[in-house]
Parts: sequence; structure tokens; C-alpha cells
Amino acid sequence: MCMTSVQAKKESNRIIDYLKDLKIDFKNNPLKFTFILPVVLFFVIFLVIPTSMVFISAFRTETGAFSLEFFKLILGSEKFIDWGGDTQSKWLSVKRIDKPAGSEKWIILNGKNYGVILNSVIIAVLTTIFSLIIGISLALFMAKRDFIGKKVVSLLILVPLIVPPFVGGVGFFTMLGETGIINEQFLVKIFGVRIILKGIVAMVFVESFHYYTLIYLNVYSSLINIDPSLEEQAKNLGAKGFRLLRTITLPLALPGIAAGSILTFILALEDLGTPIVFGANGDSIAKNTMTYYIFQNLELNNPNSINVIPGDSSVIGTILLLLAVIGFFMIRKYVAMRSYSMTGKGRAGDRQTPKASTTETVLFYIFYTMIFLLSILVHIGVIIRAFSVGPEFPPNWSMENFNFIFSSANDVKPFVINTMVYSLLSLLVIIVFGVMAAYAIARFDFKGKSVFDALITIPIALPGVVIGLGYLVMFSDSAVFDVFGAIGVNTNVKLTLDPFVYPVILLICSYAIRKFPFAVRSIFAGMQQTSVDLEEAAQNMGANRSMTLATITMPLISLNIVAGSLIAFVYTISEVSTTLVLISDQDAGTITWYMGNYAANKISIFAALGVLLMVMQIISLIFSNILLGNRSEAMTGI
Amino acid sequence: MSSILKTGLGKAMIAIVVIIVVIIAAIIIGGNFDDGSDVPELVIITRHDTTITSAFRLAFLKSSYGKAAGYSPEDINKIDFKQVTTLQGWLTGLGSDSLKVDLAWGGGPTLFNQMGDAGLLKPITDVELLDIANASVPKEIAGAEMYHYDKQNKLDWVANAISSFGFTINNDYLKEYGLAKPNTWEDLASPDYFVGTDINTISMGNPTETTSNTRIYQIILQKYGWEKGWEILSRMAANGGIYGGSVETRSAVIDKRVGVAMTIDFYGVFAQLECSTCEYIIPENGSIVNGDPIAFGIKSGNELGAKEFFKFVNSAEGQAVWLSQDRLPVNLQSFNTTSGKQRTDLKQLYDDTIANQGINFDESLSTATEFTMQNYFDAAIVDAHPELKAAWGKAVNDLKSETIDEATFNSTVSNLFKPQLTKDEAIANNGKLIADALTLSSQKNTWTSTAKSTYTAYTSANIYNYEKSNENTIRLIEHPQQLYEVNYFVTVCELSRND
Repeated sequence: MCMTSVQAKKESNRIIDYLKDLKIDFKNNPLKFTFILPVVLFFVIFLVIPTSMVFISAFRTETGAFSLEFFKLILGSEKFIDWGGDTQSKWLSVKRIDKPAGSEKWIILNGKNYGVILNSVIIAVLTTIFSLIIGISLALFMAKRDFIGKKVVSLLILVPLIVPPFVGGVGFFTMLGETGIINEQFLVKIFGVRIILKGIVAMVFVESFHYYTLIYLNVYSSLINIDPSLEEQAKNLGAKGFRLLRTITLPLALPGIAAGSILTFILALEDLGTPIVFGANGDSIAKNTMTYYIFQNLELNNPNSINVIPGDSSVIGTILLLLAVIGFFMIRKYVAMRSYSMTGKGRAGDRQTPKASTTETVLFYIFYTMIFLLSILVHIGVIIRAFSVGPEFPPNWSMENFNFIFSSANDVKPFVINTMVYSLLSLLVIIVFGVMAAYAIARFDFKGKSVFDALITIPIALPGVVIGLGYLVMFSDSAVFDVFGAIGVNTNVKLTLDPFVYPVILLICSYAIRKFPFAVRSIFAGMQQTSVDLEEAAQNMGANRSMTLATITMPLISLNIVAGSLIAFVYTISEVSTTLVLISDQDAGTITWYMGNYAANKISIFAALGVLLMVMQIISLIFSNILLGNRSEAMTGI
Repeated sequence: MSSILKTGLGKAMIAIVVIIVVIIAAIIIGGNFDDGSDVPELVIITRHDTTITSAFRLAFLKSSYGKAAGYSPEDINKIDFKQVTTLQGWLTGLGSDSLKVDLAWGGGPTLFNQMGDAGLLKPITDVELLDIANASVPKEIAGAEMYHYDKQNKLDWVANAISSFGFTINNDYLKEYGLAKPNTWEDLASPDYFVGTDINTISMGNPTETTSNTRIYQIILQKYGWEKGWEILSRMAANGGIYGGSVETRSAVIDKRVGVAMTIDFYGVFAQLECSTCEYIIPENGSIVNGDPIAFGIKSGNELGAKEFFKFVNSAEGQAVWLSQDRLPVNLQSFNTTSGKQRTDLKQLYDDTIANQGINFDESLSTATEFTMQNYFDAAIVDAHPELKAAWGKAVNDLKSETIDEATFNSTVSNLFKPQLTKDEAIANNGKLIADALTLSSQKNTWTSTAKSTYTAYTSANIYNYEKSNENTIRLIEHPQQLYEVNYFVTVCELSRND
């Protein structure tokens, strides 16, 4: 399939023309390139190449020879794909358990083991379905009815966002575990029944009550953007109730539903925290998920291998990446920057949201209270553990764990400080590159704009573990520069990307890359809502483009920058996957690293640190909510 | 700038400025920058957790040893602990010319032997240090060597703390399920500890995730022999569940989700402190003492600091810091210090540890089979756990319902849990499995599928009553029509052995 010489000539002419265009473009508008190139370079170095390295190591042996053996092995093995599921486990089983003190009825909800790859996909699909049911129901009522306490409910709905699944595990076992408070103190004592959630069911439960908020936020923002006249016309033509909902409202809200559900699917697929927590508690299905498999098999025992990661982990990483990217491209239409302007144009017309009837309100509150209680049980569990000593019930209330965290003898504070420093430094990177990227997309026309757009939004879809593994492969053994030492300042700060020597720079970059879309979206929204006329007016008065940016645009969008940054901050301080993969040095540890590696020795200390994380997140969320107001959909990046 | 201000930055821009100020303040508070004193840094690579390293750092800086090395109590940043958890990290760290690791401390004998083999430890030849070691560290404790020599017969590490291996029980749980208090590994392998396929009475760690549990399984394999050892491990796993790392294994017993958990002694002590009904047990004649090493790094750049830290951690004063961390010191003198006299509980544990008849543990055999053992356990026990439990459940139920007698039960179970490879094969394959990830993956696949089919064939073979004849064939007694299924089971078992 050789290219003919004519074709080759055509092709080279095309490239030369493109480069010529680029040169003219650059001469006419150097600022454009100053904005685009650094962002592209940053993403290529810290995203494209590292993830490609993982991809490459999936195709080579220990000596570097090309091989598809790992793929064959994994795709052909029941451990990874078992269509029938294991024969021993059941989705639901009811048993009578006889103990010397009396018998109990055990209701066990489990799920089968379908292999590492299928388990992850099934968990992600079921999580999406359940999150959709909860999220859409809440969003419909919140958007379509006015009722007493609506403002409070709108805040409470966001509560699940503030506990990372990683922390939630402790709360889950304290409250809903086999010997948790609900079972021991209520169900067994009163009804003689023990409800046990395990395997796929347990993970879908935990994830659904975390991710329904994403669906809610997306669907809600879609619903309130629907032009009310469309629904009114339908009503005038006789459609009402379910028919109106099915034929008009839901189809119009489809962008939000699609975006929210695929985002949920991707996040559930790449979730590492939940499988770690359940896997570590003896759940064999949780261990058989893609993220857990990669995490568990991270350490390569062969120091002479050309690959830093074992081949099978790379294959799983690649599969995870492909699934996430496919998901991403399915919603790209909705998440691409340019379509954001749709939500930025203001609310569609004035409308009066009808008041809910008493029956509706009562029914809603019954439904919502159930959802709310189930979603905050985990928080309550974490709080009980943090403020008490030992697993006894009623709890032995005490501040001992917090005294431990804040005592001078125990070295926990540096982790809190590290977390703040890394998160804030990564914010700085996000803000600088975010403003550049958002400005470039909002104000410039250039070739490859859609590729650029995809590049900066795709981190939403990329699993942290894969990025972490990529960094290990790419940056191990990079050069170390003791810049501060050279100027006579003694410090442990080294200018290197080698994660084993000084992982901080890599961590900051990984945080910045991973949370970039969350902030840049808010900044872009600001740009969209700021009229270009103001900037043009400044330019007519003689200001050049950079001056206009500094004096007109930046002040106008500053609110969006701060709000977007706070959102990124909420996610950064609780980042788990790249943190656990990259840090191997106590000095560089963050709160989540400490929790993952050592605080787990003492469960109550783990919970106390979890509460600390939650408080930091709540403060950031309150700030961003105040600053963003109704535009809270920007929180999800959609 | 003035024009920016004229446009009115607004509170949000001020917020950005505040963020940047906070960053700078945080870095300064973070203490990354030194106070400029000229004393060189002491770099220690370790697997000890941060509460231990913090306690030792403070105590060392306050001690005369810290002073002799030129440090003041404020020089906290001068003692730099590199908390590295991965093997890769240890090899990179100890070999790094820029890091210049002075000491390696904590991580178990196997890790230190690997570092020694890689030529990353500096032999201890200094006469003063040798004398200090001889005066404070016994040659052996309960049969375990506290000194390790390299191939040139030079001392490369010395034990600094000791630990035993056993299990922690939750008395409440055992009472609730009517289970007898266990004293040996065999007790845990008893059918009595099987309560149901959905109930785990024992929590075991996955050896690929925990070095202490790896040690425990090696002890069992050496005490009972390779075949019997695997049978005991499989029976224990079938009574219980696999709980990942050592921390999670221990959490399960504290939360009363299981009755027994595999633990190293200090996790047992932690458990006792967190849960009043928990108790650490050293299995009768079934444990060993481990010396947790300290050694000098080959690239060390701070000889004085390293020497003084070594002297400190071997002194009675330094050894007493272990007691504050609920750990057992190697130097008995530490119990005579002021703080040491208060820890009668640990003195009792120390005495019990020494009094317990340790097994004759072969360290080289343990290293030679370790990787294979960890991965075989992962493949044949962890990945086939539901099938394993179901097969064991069937055998136990048949025994309890007297469908089979005890002799048949024992021989059936021995057959079922017979390892798929011999000890010699494990030794022979160890290096290849480490060096070749592809072979490892495909070997593990084979082990898992063979184990699963063996267990499933047994569970699904609907045999009501059978006995094993002298010719090692299974003869049906009441249901000859099911001969086909039994033959299938035997065939699968035999195939799996030959695979």
C-alpha cells in the first residue's frame, strides 16, 4: 500500500501550505501562539506521552520485544472475562444462621464474579442506572416545583460529593457492615435479621449514593434551560403528566442526562477507592476489578525489566483507558467547550415554577429523606469513628483522635500542609494554563481547535491510576538538579521529575492535569458571558491584546476563576489514585497518602483525617456555591 | 498595574492574591527550608511508619548521641526519613548517588537480604560499632539469628527490634459462634471453624500484599512440611476469608467481623489496645522470632551521623522508644529504663516470645520459595476462594452429617488441597517467575483454573456416600449411577496434578 509519488507530493505540499499558513498566522497574531503552545506542550508532556507509555508497555516483553501475548492471555482468561460468572456466588441469598445464642436470618446481596474486566463494567453500568433513577427524579421535582425548604434541599443534595469513596468505606463498615451499627443495634435486635451487602451490590450501592449528584446537577441544569414555551405549547395541545414528561421534557433534557450518565459511568469505572476499601475487607469480587488489579500488581519484582509496570497491568490500564475514551467521545458533543455557551446564555425566559401540592411535597420529602439518609449514613459512620475510641456502641465519645492529629509529637501536620501546598500550587498551574486555554478557545480561531478542546477536556475521562503508571514509566531515573543547593540554600526541594527522588513536581502536574477540566470550564463560562464588545472598546482606545486581557477580561472573569479554582481544589485535596502511585517518600506524603499507607493502622485516626478532609471540602464547596450561585452545573465540568 | 486597580479588581482578584500568599506561607510553614545550619543531613530509608520515625527522630535529637553528631533538638529537618514501600523504590533509593542514603532501617530480614545481595549495604567493620552491637544485641533470640553476614562473611545487618508471628482473637466473636479458643495453626484448620460459606471466621492477608502474613505462611509451610502446610493454609482460608494487607486483616478482628486474624505481634498489641475483647496469641511451638534490621547504606555521605544514630538505636535509651510504640526491643536493658519499667505488658509479651519454642526456620528456603509461594497462594487460594470455600463446605457438611467418616474426610481433603507443585518445583521456578511477567501471568492463570475446576468438580459431583479404597480409586457405595461424575472428578484432579 505504497503512496504514489503524486500523492506524496500532494501531501507534502499540503503540509508546506499548512506551515506557511501557520507562519503568517503567527506573524499576525503572536499572542495566540503564546496562549496555545504552552498549554499544548504541558498536556503533551504530562498527559499524552505518559499515557502512551503505558499503552506501549502493554505491547512489549521484559526485554522490549513487541508482543501481543499479554493481550491474548488476558482476553482469553476467565480471571478477566467470565461471561457466565462464578458458580458459587449468588445475587441474593437468604439463610438461617444458627448461633449458640439463637438463630438469625441473613439476607445476603452479593453478585457474581464475572472477572476483572466485566466486573468493573457491570459495576459502572449498574451505578449509572441507579444514579440516573435517583438523579432524574430529584432533578425533575426540584426544577419543576416550588416547595418549602427547597433551598436547603438544593444544598443537601450536594452532600454526597463531600466524602471521597475512599473515606466512605470506613463509614460504610461502621454503619452498614455485617457487624455495623444498623445490623447489630437495630435489625438483629428488633427483627432477628442481618442484611449483608457484598461484592457488586455493595460497590454499586456506595457509588450510586455518591454519583447521583452528578446526574442531578447535569439534568437539573438542562431542565431549567428548557424554553418553557415548548412545554406550554405541548400542554395547550393536550399533553400532560407522563406523556408531557416522556415526549417533551425528557427529550429536551437529554444532553444533560447523556452527559451526566456517561460521566458517572467513567468515574465509576475508574474509581479505585471503593474497590480498595471492600477488597481490603475480604470481598473477593472487589479485588477482581480493573483499578484494584492494577493497584495491587503495581510493584514489579523484576528490577531488570525494561517495563516499569508489569505487562498485564499495562494491558488492563490500556483497556480502562479505551473504555473511558470511548465514553468520553460519546459525550464530547455535550462537554466540548463551545457548547457550554448554551448554558451561558441565561435562563430561557421568565417562568413561574408552580407550587407543589401538599401531597406532592409529602411524597417528595418521604422519597428524599430516604435518599438523604442512605447517602449520609456513610458520613455519620465516619464521624462516629472519628469522635470515639474503639468500635463499641454506644460510642466512647472522645477528642483523642483529633488531639493525636494536632499534637506536636505525631507527625500528621506535615501531611495536611503538604496537601494544601500541592493543591494550591497545582491551582496556580491550573489558573495560568486554564485562563490561557479558555481565552484561546473563546477568542481565537485556529486550525485544530477541536483537537485542542478535546486535549484539555479529556482528563475527565482518564483514570488516575493510568496517569500515575505513565509517570512512573516515563519519569523514573530522570535527572536531578539541586537548584536551591546551587544558590546556597539548603532544602530538600529538588528540581527533578523522578518520583522516587522527589515526587512533588510530578504530583503538582498530575493534580493540575487531572482537575484542569473542572476549573477551565468555569473560566470559559466567564469568557462566554463577557461581551467581546468591552474588549474591542479597550482595543479601539489603543490598548493591545495583552493589556486588554489584564485590565478588562481578567477582572471581569475573576469570579469564575476563583469559583472554578475552588471546585478543582475540592477534588484535588482528596485525590487518591495518582497520590498513592507516585509518592514513596514520607516527606512528600499528603493526607490521602497518609490515610492510605499508615493511618489505616488506627481506624479512628483514619476517620479523623477523613473528617478533616470533609471539613476542608465543605468550606470550599460553600465558597464556590456562593460565588457560582445558580451556575453550580459548572462543578461537574459539564 | 495602576490601570488594573482602576478597573476595580473586586474581591475575587483579592482572593487570588490571598491564595498565592497562602501558598508561600504554607511552603514556609511546611518547613522545606532549613535554618541554614551546616550539619549534614542524615538520610534513612525505612519501612517503619511515620509515628515510629517521628518518635525516634525527636528522641535522637534530644540525646547525647544526637549532640555528638552535631545536631540540636531543633534540627528536625536534618533527619530525613525516606519512607519507601516498594522494592523498586528501595533499590533505586539505596543505589542513588544523589540521595546518599546513610542507613536502612526496618522492613524485615528478607528485604535486607535482597538489598545485601544487590550490594547496596555497607558491611559493619568499625570496631566501636561491632562492640556496641555485641553488648546490646544477643546473638540469637528464641533460635533466631539477630546478626546477618554477607558472602564475604562480613556483618551486613543487625536486628534492632523483634517480633513474633501469630494470631489475634476476638473472644466475643468466638463466644457468639461457640468456637473454642485456638492455640495452634491446626486448630484454625479444623472443620469446627467452618460456620458457613458466607461467614468468615478467620481473616488472612494476601501474601502478595503483606510481608508479615507471607512470613506466617512460610512458618506453616516449614513447620508442617510443603504438602501438609498447603493443606492447612487451604483449610484455614476456607474457614475464613482473604482480607488484603495486614492492616485490613487486623481491622476485621477488631470490628468483630471475624474471630481470628493473622497478625505480627505488634499489630496484636495494637488490637488489644483498640478492642478490649481482643487477645494476641503466639501459636504453641508454631512461631519464630524475626529480627527487624538496621544497616548502613553503601552510598552513605554522613558517616558520623549514621554511626551516632546506630549507637542511639542500640542503646537502652533508644531501645526504650520501641516500647512507647508498643513494639518489642532487641535489647533487654530497655525494660530497666524509667519508661521501660512501666510496660509490664510488653515485658510479659517479651518473656512469652522468648519462652515459646520457635520452629527451626530455614531463612534460605524461605527466600528461595517466597515469590512462588506468594503467587501460588494468590492464584489457587485467593482467586479461587468462593470455589475453595464451597468445596470445603461440602466436605465439612458431609462429615458433620456423618455422610462420610473422618478418615474419608481427611483423605478427601488432603487430595483436594494437594499443592499443584512440589517444593523443589517452587524453588526451581522462583527466579523465572520473578524475571518473566508473561510466564508468571500464564502460570497463575493455570493454577487458578486448575484449582477452580478441582474444587468445582468436587462440589458438583453429587456423591452421597463414598469411600476411598486402598487402590486410591473412589468407589461408590449407594449411587452407582453417578460413577461418571466421580470419574470426572478424579480425572480433573489427576490432570491438575500433572499440569
